[in-house]
Amino acid sequence: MDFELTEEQRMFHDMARKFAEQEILPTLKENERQEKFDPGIIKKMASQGLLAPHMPKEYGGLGLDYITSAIIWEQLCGASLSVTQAAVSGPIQPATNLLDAGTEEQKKKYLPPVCKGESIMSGAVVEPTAGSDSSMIETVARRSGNRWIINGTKIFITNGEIADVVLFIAQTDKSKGLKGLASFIVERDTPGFSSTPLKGKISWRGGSEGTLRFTDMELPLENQVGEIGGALRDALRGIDTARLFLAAGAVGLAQSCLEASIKYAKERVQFGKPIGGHQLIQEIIAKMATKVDAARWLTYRAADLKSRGIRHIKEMSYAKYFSTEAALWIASQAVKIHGSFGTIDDYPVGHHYQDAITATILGGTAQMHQLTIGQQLLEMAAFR
Amino acid sequence: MDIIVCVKQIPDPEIPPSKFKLDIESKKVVPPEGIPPVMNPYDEQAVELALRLKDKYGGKITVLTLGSEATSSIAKHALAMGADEGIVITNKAFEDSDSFSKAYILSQAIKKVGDYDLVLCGRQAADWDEGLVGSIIAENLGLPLVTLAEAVDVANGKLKVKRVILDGYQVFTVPIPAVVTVSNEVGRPRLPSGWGIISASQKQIPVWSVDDIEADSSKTGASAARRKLVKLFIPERERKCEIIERETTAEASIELVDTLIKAGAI
Repeated sequence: MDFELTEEQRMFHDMARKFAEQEILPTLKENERQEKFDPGIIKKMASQGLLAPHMPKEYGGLGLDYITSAIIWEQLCGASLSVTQAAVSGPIQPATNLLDAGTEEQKKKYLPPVCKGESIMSGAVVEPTAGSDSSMIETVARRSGNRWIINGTKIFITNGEIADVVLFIAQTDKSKGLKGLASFIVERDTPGFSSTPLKGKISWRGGSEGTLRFTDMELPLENQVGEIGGALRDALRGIDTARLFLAAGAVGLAQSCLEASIKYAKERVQFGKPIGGHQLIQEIIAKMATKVDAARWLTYRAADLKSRGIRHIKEMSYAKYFSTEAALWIASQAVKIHGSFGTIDDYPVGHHYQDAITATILGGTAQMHQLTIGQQLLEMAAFR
Repeated sequence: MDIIVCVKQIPDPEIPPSKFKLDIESKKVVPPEGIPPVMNPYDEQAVELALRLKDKYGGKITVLTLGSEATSSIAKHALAMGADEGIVITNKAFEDSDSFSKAYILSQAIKKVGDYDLVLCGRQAADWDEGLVGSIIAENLGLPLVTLAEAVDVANGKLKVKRVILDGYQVFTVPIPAVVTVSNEVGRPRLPSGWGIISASQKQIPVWSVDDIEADSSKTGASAARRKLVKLFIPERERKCEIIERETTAEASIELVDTLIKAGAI
């Protein structure tokens, strides 16, 4: 067992950190104030080789293992988890899903442009009535001759407003429940496709979400991805990668909060000495650092299992659940250490705190991951 | 255009001052624990300038660095940025060399590389800030030298070098080959790309010794040093604030000037 980064991992770590400092941080504050995501960052990440580190080279990725990919995501998210998620979500969730379930023709058509930043892909599962429970999906796919007719609404869809192509799940036969679900791929210019941006967010303000509406949208049969009944299983493969991203991103967010808090605690003088010299601040810093380290190694362990193709349902839930919950706690403590300064956006901790709230919800809520862990340990489900 | 770039590994200049430690006895900087050394930022800009020339005219970039085998990470950083070949020159006999000795070793290595049109060095290293190596290499190789360059181009088979001066710039036309030291006005060096990192991490960096470059050991190391290090210390900085109050501004100004003269500040 070796806890040292390899030379290659160290180089990716340093490069991704510098990229985040140079390309994400300078515009972050203004973009967050305007709830604006600049899609130009996607092309910049692509030209740097940071957009799809985990995807195979033949489809435009770097073909890296998941630990190295997690190291990259961690460093990018040290600047902003929401901006990074909006930038890389296409190659992470829907592209991984398509990689596993798509035909070779579908993969060759859609994956290289997405991994090269030439096309933006969204994954759409969530609906007004279907969040953690996918059996509640109400978007309907009705077969009509050699076409599928789609009607329904998808909400909280990353890049829903700007996506060029969307991989979504719809119900083909409600009587079959989860076994009636199927995946489809649609391009934005398809008649019946419309979208609106999501505004008024209190969190994830650097990210990009939208609502999709499918109204009598006709798709050729070849736009079905995978088999009917396999959609949720296929989607979970992409979501598994998204969970690793969120765990790694939460580690980066938390590390940034820790670094900012240590710096501030050394500079801010109250009662005649830097506040870092007060025992209660030291206790918080010690707890923050311990949680960051624990989250990081839980994440790297899950990434290692995923890279080696070993079953890792429980370990990925450990990583996603612990890292995002720890990040939320760490960010809240970082705001408190900064006092009132922590509540304004001149310091990084405020926007990290906002992003940390959403990080606990995306990719499965903390409660769903607790149930998953419980199910794995007790061999009985508590939610179905 | 074939270019040789000399790069140096230094302690990370971005480390907090509290992490910077000296061993007073041995007169050496103690490497900060857990913070890996980095490429001298001026040298990184020299690599960037070489890459801009390669982007425009093609050719090969060879990076030379002096140090231990661990220094290969610095050469790999240059390869990941886009350089073609990296070489580490190391030998016990080279330890504690001063700028003259280092320039001698690098000159011997440059001779061994052979064909080149341009040698680039950073204007100085951000650790000792002596700024001598590039100039001495030019002297050793009998080549023209331009220091403090912010841009280099080729015109009519010669180098056109834009040199930074205090109140503007000068343009020199220089025959090829030449030595040019590179200033920070070159601008931000490019980041290594993902594909560059993968390629660089898979490459073996050749290590040359004293024999490989046919160097005379008597001209290297502490015994050959012309620069004698008498004392190494961190200067103490004291901040004092004295408010000078007089009846008129003129009186206060005169008193202020007198005070500054006595303090040796002006």
